[in-house]
Amino acid sequence: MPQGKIKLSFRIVISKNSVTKWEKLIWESTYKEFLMQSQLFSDRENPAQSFKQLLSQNEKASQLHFLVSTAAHPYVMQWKGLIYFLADNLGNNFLPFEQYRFDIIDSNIYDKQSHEIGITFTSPLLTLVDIWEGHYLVSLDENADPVNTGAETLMFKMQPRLSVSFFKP
Amino acid sequence: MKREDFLKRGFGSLGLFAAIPLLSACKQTDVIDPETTGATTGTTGTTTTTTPSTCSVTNSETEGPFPTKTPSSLVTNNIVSDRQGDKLTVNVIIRNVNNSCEVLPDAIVDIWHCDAAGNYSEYGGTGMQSTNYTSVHFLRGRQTTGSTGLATWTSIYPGWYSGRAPHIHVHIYNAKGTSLLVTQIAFPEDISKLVYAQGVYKSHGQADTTNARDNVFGDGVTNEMSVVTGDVTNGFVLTHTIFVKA
Repeated sequence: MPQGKIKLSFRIVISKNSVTKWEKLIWESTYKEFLMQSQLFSDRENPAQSFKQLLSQNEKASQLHFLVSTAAHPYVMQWKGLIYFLADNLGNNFLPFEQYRFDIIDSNIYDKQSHEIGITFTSPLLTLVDIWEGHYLVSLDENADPVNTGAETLMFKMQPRLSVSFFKP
Repeated sequence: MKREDFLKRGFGSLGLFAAIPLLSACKQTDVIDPETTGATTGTTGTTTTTTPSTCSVTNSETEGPFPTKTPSSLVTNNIVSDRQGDKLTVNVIIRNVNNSCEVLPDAIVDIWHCDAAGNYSEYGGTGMQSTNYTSVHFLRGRQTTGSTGLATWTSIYPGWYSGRAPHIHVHIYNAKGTSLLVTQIAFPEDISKLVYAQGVYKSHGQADTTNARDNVFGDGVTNEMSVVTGDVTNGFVLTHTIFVKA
């Protein structure tokens, strides 16, 4: 029985195909920010078109992951610490996060449609009670002692882009 | 090193710090012709979707709170965030070489600098930052110049890090977001010495690089040198004029 303390990480990918208003706002704002900030790293006479090309020409362009995150940050803050794209089995309890990491998957100064970014949220320390039928059974109380005293739990279904990113027995 | 990245970027990839002696009426620091810059807005294409092999109704509750359009977290007057240090008001005035040195309204100005210990707010690459997510963008700000060409921030006096004289980075764009100039602002050494001798700066000691030995300012700091007034009790006010071709 895999009991221990864990952190769960959940990754959201936002692209031209994203449908929610929250994602669309982030997509628009981070593309605009990419256009502005990528000029710091581009050759002015012959700018790289795509982010991947830019990275190959100037490895310091990796700073754009952080610099462009400034445009997504206000929207992440609007979630007030809950990952609203990751509900538990009830559908109205959401996994809390205390960290997030923004990354540019690719983008292109001449082709907005190729703009694609990821946001990886990471939870605070949780108590993993068990894994049941493809669900992580967790308590939000990192000091929970479910075997002896019981604990309130949530059930998160195993799914793509949800990973255990930290484990401590 | 991240700090050097900023430096090398300025030299290597952009070559922006080459001194350009000019005989024009206004003293010009470093200018970039906006006509040669390449950023454009993207084109609109046709949205296509792929059909998944299985599907279920999307949970109606998972969009979260009502999202409201919000500017970048860079857009703020007060860039102190959780950093400690002596208060510094930063006044940057943008003037246009292409318009008789008149002030330039509606220019977008980004500034960033290190904290009292010499650290920038950046975690680099895709690594996870160790600080709390709500304060990861400290000491970075974006303002748009008003009718007098002025952009203003409330910050703290920058610290220093090995190999560089104290400085603030500045990136100026036109109203459309096209880069006009990337430059840096230098500090009077007598004032930096006062600041670094006290408060949260004291344990880090005095800067190890003078403006004259600095590899950005070393070729002549006159055009990048700011005017700083004030004292450690009441804080400082920095004023600096930057000339661009807009």
